[in-house]
Amino acid sequence: MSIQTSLEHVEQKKEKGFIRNLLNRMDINAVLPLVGFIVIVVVFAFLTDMRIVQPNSINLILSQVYVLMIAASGVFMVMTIGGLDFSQGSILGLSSIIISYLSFYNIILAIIAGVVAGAAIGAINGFFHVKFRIPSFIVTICTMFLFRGLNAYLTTNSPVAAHVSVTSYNVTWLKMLLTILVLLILYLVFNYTKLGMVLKAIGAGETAARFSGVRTNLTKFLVFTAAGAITGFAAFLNVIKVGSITATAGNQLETQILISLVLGGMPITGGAKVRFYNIVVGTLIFCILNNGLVMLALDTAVQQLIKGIIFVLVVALTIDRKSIQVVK
Amino acid sequence: MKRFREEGRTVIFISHDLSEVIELTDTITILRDGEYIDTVDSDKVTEDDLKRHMVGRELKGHYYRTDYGEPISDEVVLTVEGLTVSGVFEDVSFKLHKGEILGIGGLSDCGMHELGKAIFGASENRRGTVALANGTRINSIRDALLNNMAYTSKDRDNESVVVFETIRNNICLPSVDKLAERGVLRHKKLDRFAREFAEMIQVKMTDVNQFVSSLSGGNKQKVVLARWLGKDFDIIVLDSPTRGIDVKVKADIYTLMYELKKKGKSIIMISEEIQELMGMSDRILIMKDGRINGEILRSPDLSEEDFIAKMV
Repeated sequence: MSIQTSLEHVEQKKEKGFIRNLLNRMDINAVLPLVGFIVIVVVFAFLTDMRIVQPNSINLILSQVYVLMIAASGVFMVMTIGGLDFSQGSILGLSSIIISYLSFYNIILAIIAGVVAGAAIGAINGFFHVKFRIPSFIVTICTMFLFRGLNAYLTTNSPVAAHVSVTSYNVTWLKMLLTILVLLILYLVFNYTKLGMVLKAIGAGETAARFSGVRTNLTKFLVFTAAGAITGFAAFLNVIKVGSITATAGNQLETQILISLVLGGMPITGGAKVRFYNIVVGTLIFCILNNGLVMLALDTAVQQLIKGIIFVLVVALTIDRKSIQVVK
Repeated sequence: MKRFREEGRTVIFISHDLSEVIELTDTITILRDGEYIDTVDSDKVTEDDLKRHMVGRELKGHYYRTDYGEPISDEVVLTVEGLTVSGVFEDVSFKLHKGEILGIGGLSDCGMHELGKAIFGASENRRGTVALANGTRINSIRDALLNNMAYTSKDRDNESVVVFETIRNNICLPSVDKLAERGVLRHKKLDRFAREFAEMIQVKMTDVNQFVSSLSGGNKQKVVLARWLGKDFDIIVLDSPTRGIDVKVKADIYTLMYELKKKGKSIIMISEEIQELMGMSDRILIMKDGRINGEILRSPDLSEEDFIAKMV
């Protein structure tokens, strides 16, 4: 250890309290989500008199998890490189509408079209971010508004209804299978391929990554496109669940994804400390929290407040203060 | 600092620069590896004494190469022609030979640091050509890496190493294409690869999965060099390789440079330290105001004045 860090250590032990010292030495990003998950389950099991762990309740929670988890896994990659994607809700909406339209012809064609539409919006995001160096949160907010307008237009007269047969796909085993499949593929790509290593490097130090031979511009473009495509696929699971798409479809999805990932322990600026399980644990915590608060019959305003407080606390605990750079 | 002292105040001055420390202070305290070693009077101690305390063993007055008169090979490995970046440097041309250590020196704003980047293909509005012996042009960082060129930046933390990543990933990153087996990366293989090269240069660390941010400047530079050793190169551009590094690691880096030279690797060393250029280079180009202003050949009779005359 260099002289500097050993002096830091001494100072810490003396001044800061026991808890701070403990927090600094634990890898909080790794421990927090798992502890949080257990705490949430226990707390709500207690507060709802065990209602939340009944099979019906569990089924209900799970049915909300699939779309969120799949979409979150795409955004996970965007956030790893330090970007943000606020257009996810609009992507879900547009892809859902397209899938609904095409469900009258061929369901496979419909799914492919949904994925392509999502990829297209993602590509727009990526293009403007990379080519014109506009920060990603600005680009994606713009596309969010743009396509939300388009979705509203397409549903002007009435919600877009899918063919009645789509509900036949709404079975738990299929949804679970698709979700697990997507997660598995992304897990393998993220942890065992060059792309995964490159994403973390870009998130942790883009310039240094570029000097190491990483094609940063191309990679960033691909990641935004992929995030759009993956959400386009999640739209399929959305359509089979709700059957018809309204103007507000997908609203707030981007926020829900962001909160889920953060609850799962992901540093909001990405980098090397991200872990794939952030997606899974975070989404589960989010959905349990949501449902638990509803079960407690709390006023919606109070529910929002509680969720907001938890979010701020978790961000404060998990943000990688040392490596904060400009949000990209 | 002198003014503070005259006003009766106290200054604690922390530095690697031994001559500065001896000149400006009254007493010197030496630390090594986190432990207190000794406190001496500044007017009773020499640089060699300090070095001995810092390193724990006898370190000769100079730790550069001790050979002179060795001929430089005729084989040209890199030709730089008319290289220009507007406003920074102008019309730079030279040839690099196999097994040569070519020093480039000058004042800090003479354009040599940007020249280093431009040679590596990292400059955006560069005119002129950088070409290998077989005619291949180097126009981008990818070109450079595909053709076995390497580069260590003066701005270590932003350009040479991803600070908030592990030592392992830093060492493996430039070599990731050759480490992948049909696209798949095996973590054990990456660990072994990183360990091999980290140990080769003796990076002081607890484990390859430690974050680079916890290392000292000298060790960070060792990680940078380890990654290029892992990638293997024929030509390397070192920009300020020993800046902010203590004598022990400096000596290690110079030894490494000499070994690379013996193996036939070609090195371009950009440095603001005249002593370093004099001690290590076969040939030195001096830059002034963006142009090459002189060429000096290795010789035991060089003096700083020879350099300063051309630099200023």
